[in-house]
Amino acid sequence: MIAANRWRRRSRTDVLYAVAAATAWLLVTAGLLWARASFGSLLGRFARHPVLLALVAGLAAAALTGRRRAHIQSEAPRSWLAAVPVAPLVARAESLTLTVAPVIWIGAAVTLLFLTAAAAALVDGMPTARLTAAYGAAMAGLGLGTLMSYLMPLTRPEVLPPGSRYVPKSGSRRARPLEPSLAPLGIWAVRYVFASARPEAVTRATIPVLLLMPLGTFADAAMLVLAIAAVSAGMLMLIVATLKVSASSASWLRPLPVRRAALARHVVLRPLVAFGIAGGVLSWLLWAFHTYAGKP
Amino acid sequence: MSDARLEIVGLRAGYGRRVVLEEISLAIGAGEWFVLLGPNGCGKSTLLDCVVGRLQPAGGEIRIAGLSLTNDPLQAKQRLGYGCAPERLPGLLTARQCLEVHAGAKGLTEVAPDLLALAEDLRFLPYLDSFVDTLSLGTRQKLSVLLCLLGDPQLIVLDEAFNGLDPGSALVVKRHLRARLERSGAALLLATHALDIVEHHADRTGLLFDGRLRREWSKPEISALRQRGMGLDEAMAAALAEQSRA
Repeated sequence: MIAANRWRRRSRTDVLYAVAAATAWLLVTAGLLWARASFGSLLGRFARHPVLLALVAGLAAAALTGRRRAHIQSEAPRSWLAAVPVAPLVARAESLTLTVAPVIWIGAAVTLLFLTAAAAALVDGMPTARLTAAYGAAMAGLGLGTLMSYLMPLTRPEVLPPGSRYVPKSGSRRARPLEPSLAPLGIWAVRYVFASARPEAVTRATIPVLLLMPLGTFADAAMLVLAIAAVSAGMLMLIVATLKVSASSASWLRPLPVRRAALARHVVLRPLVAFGIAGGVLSWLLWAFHTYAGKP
Repeated sequence: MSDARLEIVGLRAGYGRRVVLEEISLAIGAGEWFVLLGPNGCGKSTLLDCVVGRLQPAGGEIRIAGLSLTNDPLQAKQRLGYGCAPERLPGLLTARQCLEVHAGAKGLTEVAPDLLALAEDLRFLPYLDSFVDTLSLGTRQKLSVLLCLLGDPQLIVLDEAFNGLDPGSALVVKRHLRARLERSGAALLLATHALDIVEHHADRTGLLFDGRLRREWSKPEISALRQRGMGLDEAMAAALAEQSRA
């Protein structure tokens, strides 16, 4: 009955999400089976370093759990449910579930990946012992990392400053009269990119790029790869920012007598120029990388 | 041609199938300060959204200074000033840039000196080059009022414009609005819950309830209520109870 009622209450959106997730998993599985030779060699590399896998999984679990604990500790007293009388045991269990939820999700994803890889290996008649050992190491790392995070002191909760803190400011302090113009709309999208590029976000985005570089990579190649990744990410963010700013400015200025074409022109013009410059820089970086890679 | 700054005839509006406003008809004359009252969720903001062109009505007609908002939207909006909610202001532009964009959109060549004087009276000028997302609620509210008054609008529309303003700044804004209405013949449509504004400043007050304009009070009627020792809150409660019974 409970299951039936639950199902009845579930909205169509939830069902669509579930179908989308299952379809995505099926597509990934099909892709992995199709390219199992290269996927197998990649997994083989991971499987040869179970200690490294356990270490990475442990660090990730410790960081995620620590952040969650700090967040829950700072938010719980301000929660709208803070005044509701809840048995201490229930409150503790809820807090624990919320804290370890990200690790559980990662564990589920790793399990799904392991099952898919094991199925691919069994189809080819390959042994799965090394894969199982790697999976065990990753799961053990997740478990130990979660436990370790409870032994560490809590990190300070993250308080996000206003996005404009990361926007470059002009040095001019000279008072100037107000000059009516729609031109500032063009700066908005570019500023949006800077506001999104918080130091924490940039660091988190850089680490995977560094980790993906094979051992023995020279510093100049690494710098080139990082620059290419940064410019590409900046260009992508500029597209997203322009779309967001376009919608926001249309909503903000709807009560004003401004034509849509004029609005679009002012919103898009500067990002387009910035995009062109970034595209030029990216082409030059790719050319430099190509030349570097072609050296004997 | 009438001298009404705002004419609403048979307005119907809603969100999807949900009807929020039904058969609203209202006229606000030159120099008139009209306050829109009503319980939470009665449709005050929806009515203002229709008047400023943010929401497409399902039926009816809105005219601003004689110009139809549907047939001649650019000219009608040229005569309109709207103070948006502070959280709708773009956080990554400076206050100066917000003013410049609004003035540019209205086709102005310069910002009127009386508006700069108001900004000075509100002690707003030191914040001109600050990003909007670093401003306090009250300072953003001041910016919203200043944006609304750009271009000498004939119809001023404000939604809870005094929220977050300190009493001194609120008084400056109220005095400026009254002086502006008398000088330029503009009209003001203000949605609020602050009954002191109704008692001291409004020329006419309307009570919106269940999507309809149920009751109106003129200034003499409000004065008469006060003389009878009855507050406007009590008169509102009585009117709402009467409507609920009906």
